[in-house]
Amino acid sequence: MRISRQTHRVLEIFLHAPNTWRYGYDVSQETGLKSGTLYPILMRLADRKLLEATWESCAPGTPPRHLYRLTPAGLSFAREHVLASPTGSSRPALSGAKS
Amino acid sequence: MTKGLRKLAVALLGAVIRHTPAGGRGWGRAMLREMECIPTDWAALRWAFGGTSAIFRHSLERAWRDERSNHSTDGLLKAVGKLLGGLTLAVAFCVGVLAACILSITRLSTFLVPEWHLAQMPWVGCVSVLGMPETIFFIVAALLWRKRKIVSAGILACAVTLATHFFLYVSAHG
Repeated sequence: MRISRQTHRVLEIFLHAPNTWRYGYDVSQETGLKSGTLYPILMRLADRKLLEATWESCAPGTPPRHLYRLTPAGLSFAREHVLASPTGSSRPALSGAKS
Repeated sequence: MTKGLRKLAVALLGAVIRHTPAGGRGWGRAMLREMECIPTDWAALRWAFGGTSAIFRHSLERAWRDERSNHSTDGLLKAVGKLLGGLTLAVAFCVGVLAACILSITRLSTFLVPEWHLAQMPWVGCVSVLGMPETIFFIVAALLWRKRKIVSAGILACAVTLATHFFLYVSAHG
């Protein structure tokens, strides 16, 4: 599987604190990716069971927010790809993760 | 003005969520909820446009994947149908040929040339039950091999089965 520079950046962010659940907006801020780029990446990672998502449990009356973190498979995938090429600059700019 | 922009952003993403297939709705709601945390209205509108494009792409990808899997199921069903049809045809042909061979030699010879007493000769049985049908099977299988491979393979399988059955029968009964 080859990954894009953007996917690489997203994986890098998740890899910084692997057990931490993250909000989509925060990931967008940290990676500098717009929603139109970030969410397709998150969707693809979730489709491939590399990312798990959950709805935040919060006070009644407050709508919940979606949270994301890497699955164990996602963690090993991220380690394999991010640690192999830390900057991700040598990778071709694809629109998302491709098999 | 800015309040209107945020309302427009919410309305846009809300409309997309309502019209998107069930698989993309959760993602749409997630984006809509995140939009409330975006400080500026222009950024919220840009977020909504991005979210719309993401959901649209996700729906397209999913539809394309479903279409592809449906097609592969159809292809498999067609292939199985073709195989079963071909084998049925082959078996029907072989049974017909075998019956015709058995009946033709023994019965017709007695009817046409009764003085030869062919029905009583042991080799006639071998020819009618094995020799003739096997020859016809191999000729027809060779002729059909290029254009109707499944039927041809079915006929060859019948030929092998018949020969095996014949030799097992002969070895058991003498």
